[in-house]
This record gives sequence, structure tokens and C-alpha cells, in this order.
Amino acid sequence: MNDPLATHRIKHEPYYRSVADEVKLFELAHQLRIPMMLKGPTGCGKTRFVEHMAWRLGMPLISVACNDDLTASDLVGRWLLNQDGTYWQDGPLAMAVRHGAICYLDEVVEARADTTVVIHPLADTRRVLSIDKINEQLLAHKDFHLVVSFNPGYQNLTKDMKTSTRQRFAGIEFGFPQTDVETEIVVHESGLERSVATRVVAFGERTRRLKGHGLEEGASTRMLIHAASLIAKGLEPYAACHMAVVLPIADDPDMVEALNLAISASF
Amino acid sequence: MLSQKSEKNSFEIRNLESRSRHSQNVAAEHSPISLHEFSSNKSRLGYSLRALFDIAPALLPVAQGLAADRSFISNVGIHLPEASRAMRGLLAKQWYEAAATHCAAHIAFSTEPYQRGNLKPIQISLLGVLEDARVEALAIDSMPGLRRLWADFHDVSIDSGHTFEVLQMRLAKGLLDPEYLDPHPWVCRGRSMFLAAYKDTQGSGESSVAALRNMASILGNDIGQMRLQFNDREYLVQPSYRDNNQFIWELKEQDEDRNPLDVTVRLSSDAKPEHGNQRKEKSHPAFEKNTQVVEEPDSNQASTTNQYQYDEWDRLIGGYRAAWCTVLESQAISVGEYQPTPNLEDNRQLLSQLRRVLQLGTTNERIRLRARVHGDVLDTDAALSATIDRRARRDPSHKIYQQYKRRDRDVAALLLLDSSQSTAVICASDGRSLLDLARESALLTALTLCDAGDTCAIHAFSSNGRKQIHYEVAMEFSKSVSPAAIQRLAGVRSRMSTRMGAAIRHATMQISSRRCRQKLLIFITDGEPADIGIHDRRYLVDDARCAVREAKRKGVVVFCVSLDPSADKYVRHIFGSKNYRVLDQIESLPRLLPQMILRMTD
Repeated sequence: MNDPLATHRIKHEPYYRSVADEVKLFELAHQLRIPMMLKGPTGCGKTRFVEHMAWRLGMPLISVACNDDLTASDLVGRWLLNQDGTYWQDGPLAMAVRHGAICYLDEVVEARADTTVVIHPLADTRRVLSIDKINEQLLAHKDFHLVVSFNPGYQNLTKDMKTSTRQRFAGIEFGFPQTDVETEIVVHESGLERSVATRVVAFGERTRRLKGHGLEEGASTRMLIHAASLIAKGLEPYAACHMAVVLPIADDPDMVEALNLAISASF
Repeated sequence: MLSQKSEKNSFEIRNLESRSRHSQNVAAEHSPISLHEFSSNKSRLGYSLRALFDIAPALLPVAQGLAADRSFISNVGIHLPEASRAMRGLLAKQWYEAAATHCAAHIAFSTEPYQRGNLKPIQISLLGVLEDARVEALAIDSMPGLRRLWADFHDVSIDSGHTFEVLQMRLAKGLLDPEYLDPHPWVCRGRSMFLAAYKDTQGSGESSVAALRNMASILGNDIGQMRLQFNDREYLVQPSYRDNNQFIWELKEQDEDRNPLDVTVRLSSDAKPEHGNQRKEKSHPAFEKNTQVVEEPDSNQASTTNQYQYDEWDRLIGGYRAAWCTVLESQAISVGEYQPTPNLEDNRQLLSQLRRVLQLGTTNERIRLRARVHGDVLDTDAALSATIDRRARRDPSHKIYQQYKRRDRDVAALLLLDSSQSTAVICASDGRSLLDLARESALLTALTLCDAGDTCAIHAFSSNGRKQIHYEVAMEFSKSVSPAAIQRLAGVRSRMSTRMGAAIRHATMQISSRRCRQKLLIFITDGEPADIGIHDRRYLVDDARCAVREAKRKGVVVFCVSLDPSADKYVRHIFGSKNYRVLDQIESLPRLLPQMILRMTD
């Protein structure tokens, strides 16, 4: 049988190390199809978590990275042409609604305001996607599950989720994992030996203390994995952390030097 | 860089000094370059200490030429010599790093003070060395790279001599550097005793304090047996990056009443009293100068005062006290001449670059204009319907492109300055006060926002009890900054206290009547709300929080810039987790603030 979501099925288990009971919480929410909001800083594992959960639940996953050009019709779909005339092409959201998949809208606050019109009837008990261009009220497939992510620490006062949108979701909060868990993750993802990975993680934690005091955000787990992978490839720890962590997060020369000292102190 | 004073019995030390890689040009000691060393290192060190030790002590300079050739720690912060003697450039940078991290290790780990009791000078000095070694070892446990940083400054060797001072330095090196081999029996004994005790106690707790004290008296007795002399009056702690170790001792009884101010004065009579400590002290009502308040209305431009009454939230009764606060609004008194600092000009240049990048008068928010005759990309929907029309043999539209346009800015910003007495503290190296910096930042922000097409106003407030909340209008809402506004801004003085809630309510009232898309109240303050007669610290904090919520309901975004490094907790409580920023580097405020505001409203 032709599976329209074949390319969205996850074949191999994505590595995810649970830090608390988030797997259980998500499973329960999924059973009830309660729309989920994943909150947390960038690079802490939100996207990986969704991939892992989709695999675990045996569900196809359709991810959309939202940006300020993303409109409702980009999500819902549009008419296209072929040799025979016009045909309707479902957008990612309509595809998930029609065939039953987890639809993951990454950084949803970035999307344009008109997307909320589409999301609202889908995210409450109606579970309906209204596609006005083909005059269809598409009732969501029983497997359809809406998941969004957003980063509350984002420093722009004009961008925030509307209360009416927020109230349709249940939330799971993500933060950077505890030291030993984060070390485990870094070791797994980079292949670096544990004793050095511990140092990388300790350095990462030191940068996070500067959040709000010169840094917008400290080093994310993703960055630490980058640094650790470079070290595992034979790069000096100082050079690896400088390249993978310090330069991307800091511009101010004083801050760069302070972080450099934190690297030398950590290794 | 070593003791300049101990000329009598320090042949070996001087000998050592001449070999020291640090001792370069003694003549350069008084060169003007040295004066810049502290300030050029300060902000970097501040960041480093927060990252490494999760502490944010004030970093303060100690004037040259004092007995303070060594850094010291007081309850005000870490005091570092203005220039490490005979060190320049890279070496000075490392020296500052070593000194600041060493002091930070004390703050983090020297939690149990030692009692002098009947310890002899030799034992006191030794206990200092052992405690230094203990805190450094604890820091190294989690940050092994610090060993390298510190070890570079231990340039003593087994050939350096056998006086007590040199042996003590050899011991210090031996305790820090496990690869250093020293055959001297006393040094060996000290090392093995220290290692054993450190292993037993994990380096911390009361037992380790007792163990080190015991060790110091044993090692001190050995020195006595060896008949070695020690001139404690002229001794300076070695190596030079280590602090004078006053911090590790329990204060003597007569010292206990002293206030932080006295410490600074006592330890460094030349240190400028403005630094740090007063900053933390909220202006006490008793300090308020009533004379000043009386004086001002008498000056040439008596302006009209309008009275407004506002409710105040009382957390204990859980409700508002009706018409509780009286805000007295007047125009700020203009000062004849206002000289913008050179700094202002520097920053203006930087800002004009920033403005060019941001493109005047627009935001980054883009609007998609569909179905255009010209454009960069096809408007898929329009193109499709045109094609369908063509196939259906209807007349297709030519408007098949889409364009992007930036959305126009439409921002009204009110900059509200806290001008309480505590802002009179001098905090910049060129003698400018907190209020001066806040003033300059506000002016720059106003200039930037006005250039970007926004409407902007600058107001200031201070309070003297609930019936006298003085609210001064330096600049009315306007799209340009007039010279008269600048002069009025210069006339704002630091005085009295900070009753935030009423001021925020009044400012909200002023801005919420503006017609524009974004309304921004930027609140610049240096500390917690406080006022005379209010002893419950939470009272005014909770009231301010209420005022901020009221503003939010009226569509006004309140953003706070706090200059109090320890402000995180209450500022977050008042303004919410997203709407504040704590600035550690006050001097960079004029540069940072306009950028921050532009980016937020973008």
C-alpha cells in the first residue's frame, strides 16, 4: 500500500537521554492527543526529544521550522499546476492532519500571526483544519498530534505567544540536563572519553553562569557536543572549545577573553 | 615586584627578584601606562569570576604607592592594585587573572575564619600559606587549569636560599605544584603533612581548619628550632598574586562594629571612597539633605508643580491603599551649560553606524506585499491564477510577483531615571557618577530612538515619603532632542529615595495616552525600591510589581535596566523574567542601552 508519510517515518532510534519523567508525560499527553508545548533554551534537546518520541510511539513526524515568512498557506497547502491542470498540494500541517502524524512546529512564535487562525481550531476539541481554498473542513486523523516548541528566554519584547494560543497547550519544560546526565549525553554523541567530557561539560556550565550578565545564553548541550567531537578528532581542548563555544556565543573582546580563561581553567 | 621595603635581611630575595622573569623595568613603575592596567582588566575579570566561581564581587582598584602592594578582600569586594608592579601587557593580564582567581578561591572556600589566638607571627604567616594552598587545591579539584595559571608565578627554586621567607615560598610552590622536587626536609615535611590532612578532610570543614592550624604551629616550631628569623612587619605575602590574607582571620573584637566604609579607609587610605561599598548601601533617609530640596525651587526657573495621586498596593492587607501616594510633577530645572563628555561623542559615532545598519525608521519585521507588477519572487498563488486564466482563455493578470517591505517603526519610549541619593556614587574611572552615566545613556538612547523616528521622553524621579514623590520631566514626548531638554536633563540631581511603584504608575499614565503601536517604559535604576518609613523590604517591591502589571494591562511594556549586580532576584520579581537586564559593567551602559532598546523594539 502506498504510504503518503513513508518519508516521515523514523527508522532508527534517535538517541535521547531522558532527564526526568518527560517521556512518560509526553506519552500520556499523546494518548489523549493534548497539544504539547515544549519550552526551553536553544540546543537543549527539544527537537531530538520529539524525534525520539515519534520513534517510540511508532508515529510519523512532520517537522516545520517556523520563521517570520511562514504563512498559514505554507502550512495548509496550495494549488499547483501540472500538465493536466491544477491540483491541490497539502502543506505539512494538512498532511499530518489528513494522514495522522505528529506535527512539530519548531519555534512557533517566529511564525506569522495568521498561523494562529489555523492552529486554534486544531488545538482544541474541534480538531478541525479548515482549508478554505478547497472548501474543506478537514477533521483530524485520530493519530494527529500537534507539538510546538518555543524559547521563553528569547529577548524580543514584541514576540510572544498569545494567551489564547498558550491556553490550548500543555507544557513540558526543558533545561540543560544535570552535570552527570549531560556528560553521558556528550560522551554518547561525541565518542569522547568520559574524563575529558566531564571537563567540557563543566566548562559549559561555567559559561551558563554568565547568562544575563554579558551573554544572551550560555553554551548549549549541542555546542558542547560539537566541542567534544572536535576534541575526539584530536583537536586540543582549548582550540575546540574556543571554536565551538566561545566564538559563536560571544563578541565582546572582554567576554571572549573571560571565556578563554574559563577554558584554560577547566582543562 | 617583591618587597621594596625589606632591605635588611633579604639578600636572597633580592637576588631572586633580579632573576625573576617578572621583574623588568623598575623605572617604568610610575609610567602612566600602569594606571590603565586595572580598568582594562576589570570587566574581563568580572566575567571570569562569575563563570569560574559563580560569584560577582565588586572589583576595586587600590591606588599605587600604598602598603597595598598585595590585593586584599574586604566585605566590599576584591581590591586589586592599580598596576601590578613592573608588569605590563600580557604578563599584567595573567597576573590580574591569577590574583583575582586566588581571591575568588578564598571567597568561595575560606568560609571558616581562623582565630589568631596566641599564634606567633611565623605561625600566622605559615597558616596563611597553608590556607592559600588549601583553597587553591579545592579550586584546582574542579578547575585543573588554574594550577598552571598560578604555578607560573611561583618562580622560587631549590637554589633560592634558606631564609624563612624563601623556605616558605618553596613550601608554597611545593604545595601547589606536585612536580616540583624539593629535598629540604622542612619543605618535605610540610608537603606530606598537608597532603595527608587534605586527604582526610577533603580540604573542607571545621576539621580541616583545625588540622591546618595544628600544622602551622608544628611547622612554625621547626622554624624556631632552625633559629631562622622572620620580620613580619616588612614581609609581603609571596608570590605577588596572592592577597594579604587578612580575609581568613576572624575580626578582632574591637573591629566587629566597623562598617564596610571603615574597612576601605583603614586598608587603603588613598582608595577613592566612591568605589563600590556605598553603591550597595541604599541611601539612608537620615542622609537626605533637606536643604537641597528647599534650595531648588528657589533657583531661577521656578516651574509649576502638578499633583497627582495614586493608589499603592499593600501586600499585608492584600489590597490597594487608595490615593496613598502623591506625585509632584514639575519640569527639571535647567542648567546653563551642559558639556557632553568625549565619551558621548565616541558612542554617538558607534550608534550612527548601528543606525545605518538598522535602516532608519524601519524594523526588521517584514511585510509581504502580494500580487505586484514587479518583485523579487513569484507570488505563487497569483502566478497560478494567472496561468489558470490563460489556459481558460481569460485575460491573465500581470500582477504575479511579491515584494517585501520593512514595517515602519511606531514606538513611543519613556526613559525613567531613578535619581535617588544612591545614584550620586562615583562609579566610572573618570569620576562620573551613576546618575551621570544613566543620564548620558538616556540621552544617547533618546537621540538614537528619535533618529529612528520614534517618540521619546526622559523623566526622572526620587521620593521623600509617600506624599512627596518628585517626578521631573527633563524631556517631553518629542521626535527630536532639543538643547533645552538636554540642559534640563543635566539639571536632574541625585537626592532622596526610590519609591518605584508610584513613579511607574505616573509614567504609565503619561505614556499610555500616546497613540502608537509599541509603548515602552524603560526604567533605569541602581537598586531596590526603598523609602523613608518603610521597613518591610518586600512592601515596595510588591507594590512596584503591581504597578508593572497595571502598566502591562494598559499595553505598556516595562523594561528595567538595573545597575545593581545583585539585583537579579528582586528585579525579576518586579519586572518579570524577560523584562530586565542587570548590567555588571556600568561604564558600558551608554554604549549598551541604545543598542539594547533598538534591538528589543526591532
